[in-house]
Amino acid sequence: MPRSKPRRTNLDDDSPLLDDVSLDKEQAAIPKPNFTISLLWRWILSVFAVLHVASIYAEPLRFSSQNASPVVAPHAAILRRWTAPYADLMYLNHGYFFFAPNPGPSHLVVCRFNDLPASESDSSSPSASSDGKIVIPDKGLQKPRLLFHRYFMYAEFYQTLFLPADLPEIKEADPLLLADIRRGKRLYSEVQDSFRRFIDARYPNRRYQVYRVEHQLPTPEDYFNNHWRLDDPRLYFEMPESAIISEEPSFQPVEIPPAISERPNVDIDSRTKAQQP
Amino acid sequence: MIARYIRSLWSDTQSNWSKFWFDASTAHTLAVVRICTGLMLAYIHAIWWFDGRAFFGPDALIDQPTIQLLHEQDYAWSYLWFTDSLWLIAIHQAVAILASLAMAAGLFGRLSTVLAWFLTLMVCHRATGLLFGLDQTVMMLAFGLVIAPSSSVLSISSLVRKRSKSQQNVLQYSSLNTFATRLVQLQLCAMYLFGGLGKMRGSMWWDGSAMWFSAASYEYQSNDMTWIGQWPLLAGLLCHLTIFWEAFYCVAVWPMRSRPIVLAIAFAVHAGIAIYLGMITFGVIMIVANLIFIPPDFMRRIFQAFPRWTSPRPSNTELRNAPSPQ
Repeated sequence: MPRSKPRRTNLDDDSPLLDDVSLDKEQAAIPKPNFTISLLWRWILSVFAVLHVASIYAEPLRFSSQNASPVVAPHAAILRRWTAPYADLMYLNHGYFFFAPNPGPSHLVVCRFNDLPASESDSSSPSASSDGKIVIPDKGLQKPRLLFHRYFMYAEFYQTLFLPADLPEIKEADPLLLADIRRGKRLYSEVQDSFRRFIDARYPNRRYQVYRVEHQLPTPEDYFNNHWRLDDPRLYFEMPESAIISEEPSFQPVEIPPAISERPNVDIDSRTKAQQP
Repeated sequence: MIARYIRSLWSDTQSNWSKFWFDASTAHTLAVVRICTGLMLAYIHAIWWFDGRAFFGPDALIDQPTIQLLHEQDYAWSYLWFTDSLWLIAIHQAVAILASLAMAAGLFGRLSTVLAWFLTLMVCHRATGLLFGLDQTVMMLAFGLVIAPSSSVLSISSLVRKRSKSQQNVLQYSSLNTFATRLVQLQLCAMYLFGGLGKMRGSMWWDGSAMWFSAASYEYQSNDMTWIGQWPLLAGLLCHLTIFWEAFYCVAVWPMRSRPIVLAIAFAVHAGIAIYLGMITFGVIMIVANLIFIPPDFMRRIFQAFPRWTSPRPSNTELRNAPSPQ
């Protein structure tokens, strides 16, 4: 019996995937329309498509074309400015720099209480560990994985916004750059205050310090030859809040986060040894 | 001669533009994407609800004054900026979950999809600082589904329609299916293009160490992939494969000869991210996003291999009246 010639869609005319595709006789009898919308609608949607696609490409183009100053290539800045109302409102303003330019260290936000009784330690969310610390994110406490990832993103956002309050403002600098720096300081300060209000609401009348911790990545040599774990205490460093460079090392080693410190096989003292020259 | 060239150029461009964006197609691929996206949206909202006080409450990590300050210079807007009532937040998330599930089931046509997309958009603008690639991708897919009449197949609505004989076996073509598919495809290309270009600026993706440093991130790790550190040749190859595949995805995914290869790499890369790098949801939704490049006719053939999924089973009366096999 001769095989009926497959009817192929115009969408993917040259599809080898469709070579063996044939429609049922009943379905094949129905003619496929070229378009189901009028010419006017096609024009309207064409304009919309151009705007939408331009909005998608505007932010990553701006993000990629800025230098350290940060000065953006003029055409990228103009495109981003023109598309901003639509892109911002429709949540299309992303840079798409996943794991780029390099995979980097992770960051944690740590709140260390001075006087937290053990009875209060697990009464709120996020819970404090038995040694009186809240660590964001904490793999042991924040489950399921997506919840952990929300807290992880918060800690990275907190770190990204960091701008030291005592960063000197050069009067001769570009006024726009100066305004950016002032706004950056205000944003970081507000996010810090918001975090403090978050802690105060859960642990009222307690004294504590909030600091940022960088969890650096071990080298293959550290991992395979020196037998460091990925959560080795020697990889955690407290980040300075000040822009003023002192004679002290800028990174201060810190006590390891609670979820990790509670594990029996982590040698806490090894961190101190590692700091010796 | 020049005038004739310009005329033919204009006419060809117009015709190819129309064919690219508006050539009518069925919704089989979009329907699969709709089901997966709807379920993922429901899960996302369930997690927001689970810790609603920490994310949206009066004493949230990023509270009301802070979120308004963060957005004072952009055009984003959400009504969730103006409430921290845990009751209202809970209602918002509950409705969002129901709408997302209805979207997955293909109930109420595009209404449920529009509602699920809008409620998620409001959360995205409220949850600044807590979002990542999962949210970007799921919103990209949801927006495409807002445009396309994807519930014409693989949905409760289509099942109901099929039960009325007149509608049986009628393929529903729509230009909006193609239009929505193209929007999602082009955004996916942008994601990979800038992801690849971004990686090209880093030395670790060139010297092959990026694979180790991705595997060695304790916060990302869900399954141990540190063995890659003992295979530098493989790690280097995977790094280069990643940057070339990402950067050239936007070109290689269009010709049908190279498309299966590009998609196979995408599935492998995102399955790896889901299994090893702790982002199960992100890995899954990126695989779902890549399905958008599967031609609807090919997807329809897959459905037809499983007829029970797509068509109602004959009733006992119909079976009794059916002619007996010779």
